[in-house]
Amino acid sequence: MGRSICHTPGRTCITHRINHVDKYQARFYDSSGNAPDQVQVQVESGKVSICGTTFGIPFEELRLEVGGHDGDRFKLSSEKQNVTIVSEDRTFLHALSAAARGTELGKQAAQADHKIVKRGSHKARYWSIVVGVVLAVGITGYLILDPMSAAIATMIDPKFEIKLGEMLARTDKLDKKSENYLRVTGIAQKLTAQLEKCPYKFQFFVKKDKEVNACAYPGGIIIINSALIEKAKNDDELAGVMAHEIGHVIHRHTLKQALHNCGLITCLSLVSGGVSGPGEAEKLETVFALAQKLESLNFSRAQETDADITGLELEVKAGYSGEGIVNFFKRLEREENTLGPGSARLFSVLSTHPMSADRAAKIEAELKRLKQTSGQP
Amino acid sequence: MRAEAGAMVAKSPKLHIRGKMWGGFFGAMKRSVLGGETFFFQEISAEDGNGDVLLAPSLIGDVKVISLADGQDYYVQSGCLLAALDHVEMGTKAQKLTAGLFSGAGFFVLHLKGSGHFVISAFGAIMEIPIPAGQEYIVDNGHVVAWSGDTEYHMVKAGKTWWSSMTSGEGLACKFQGPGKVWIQTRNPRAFGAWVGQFATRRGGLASLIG
Repeated sequence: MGRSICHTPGRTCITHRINHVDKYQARFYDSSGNAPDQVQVQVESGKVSICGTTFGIPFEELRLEVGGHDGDRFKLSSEKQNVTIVSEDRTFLHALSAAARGTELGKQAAQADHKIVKRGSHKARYWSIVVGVVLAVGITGYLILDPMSAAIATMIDPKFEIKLGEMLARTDKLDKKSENYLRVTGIAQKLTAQLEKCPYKFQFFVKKDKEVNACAYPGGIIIINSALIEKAKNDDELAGVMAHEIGHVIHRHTLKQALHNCGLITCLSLVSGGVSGPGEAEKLETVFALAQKLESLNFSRAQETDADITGLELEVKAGYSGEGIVNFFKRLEREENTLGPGSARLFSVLSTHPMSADRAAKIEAELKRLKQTSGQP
Repeated sequence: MRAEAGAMVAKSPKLHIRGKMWGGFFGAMKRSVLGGETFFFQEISAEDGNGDVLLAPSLIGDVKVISLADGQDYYVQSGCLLAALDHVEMGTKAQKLTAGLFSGAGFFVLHLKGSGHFVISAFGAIMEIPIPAGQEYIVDNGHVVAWSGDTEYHMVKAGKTWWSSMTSGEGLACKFQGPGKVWIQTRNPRAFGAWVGQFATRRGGLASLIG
């Protein structure tokens, strides 16, 4: 490409040609399939030539197309000479399109340049679509998780649920003799006697543990930690907690929660691209554990309320006051506050069943209603 | 030089090893989450004098040193990069949708450019296949390890018809277009994993769902 210095446009120009031609980096492939040579090419007098050699290919023989894995480079190939030149240098493309203007090659060069430039914006659009779809699938999946797991739960046979619970709960080493156990079974008998048409067989177990907590497994196995029994001042309080756990079983909350977790795994796999390749199953597990923590996979507030209401009904029918559960949790909260934050682990039941003012109010309202209905013969 | 975390087998005492997040925190994040590489890379430097280091990948298979020269860049399947010299620049690039889903190389591949050498590892032997300009080559999905940036590939059915593709057990394959080179592994890790899986007992199961 020549350089011209033109002082006055429209007049005779003093053109000073310097023997300077722009050079471009490219890779030169011959027909052998060997590794390419790095070359410098120039566009000169109707030819693309390799610097330092006499080799040149006339424009008519060249065909240009965009290529490469990312579509970010162009290939100039000549069938006659059986060679291909690959370059990423867009100034080379500009020079070609200027020098070969009006020819097929010039047209191809201009189109290729357009295509390479457009690639960037295409990519942005492509990625926003991909991210959008993934998010949409993830969010929809997440939103329909609970209704879905509730729907699936109705299809599961209670017999299977009981088996599942027996598989999950390790009850063989639990205490079946102590005073605590006798106290629990005594209350349990009174409570379960009030159940009508329940497919579950309730079994209560006592676990020696310093943590104040209780948990219900699908199908009717309920494990109560010894610390909780000792913290309960009277049978009313203990019955409150036990009836609440029975409520969870009747409403199949654990089963729904397990299904919810299954769904969550599916959602996460969809979003993260699933398990593939070595070590990715572990990675997914870590992500899942993190998600579990973030989401705090306890029963939802609505589920707690359901369990509360069912529990209260049982308690009142069995002849307990019904005020036990609120009193128990309120006292525990006060104790935790006086003991300081270090005791939070011991009172884990509080974090899984926080007695909010709202929950207490709901329980009291329900209790009032129950007492009214039972008071009217 | 930089190597995959855990790849070192032995080294001279004069060499120093440091865990490094190559490309900063976000670069490392992107690479490990999207590219399937380790989050940390180990940087092995010869500060106190010369020495040698032995590296090995976790999979049973070949390693191959590729030299970055002549302005050529390379794409490497995620998880197949064992080590690279200091001047190699590494990035993560997304593949096209069909390639990402079916090539077996994953959605995100590593893009290497700059100067120096890098080492790829694979399952089974590594074969280098040069593809002359204007020619094509077909590689079954799951066997592609690395390819030069000048080539490009598309997903095609391995047989002439869908029926013959499925019945021949090949399904989809990657059709590479020359000029350029492609490195393939002679064994398919996923097929091997499926074979091993027949004999392994399942772990986790329902207990892990309830947590």
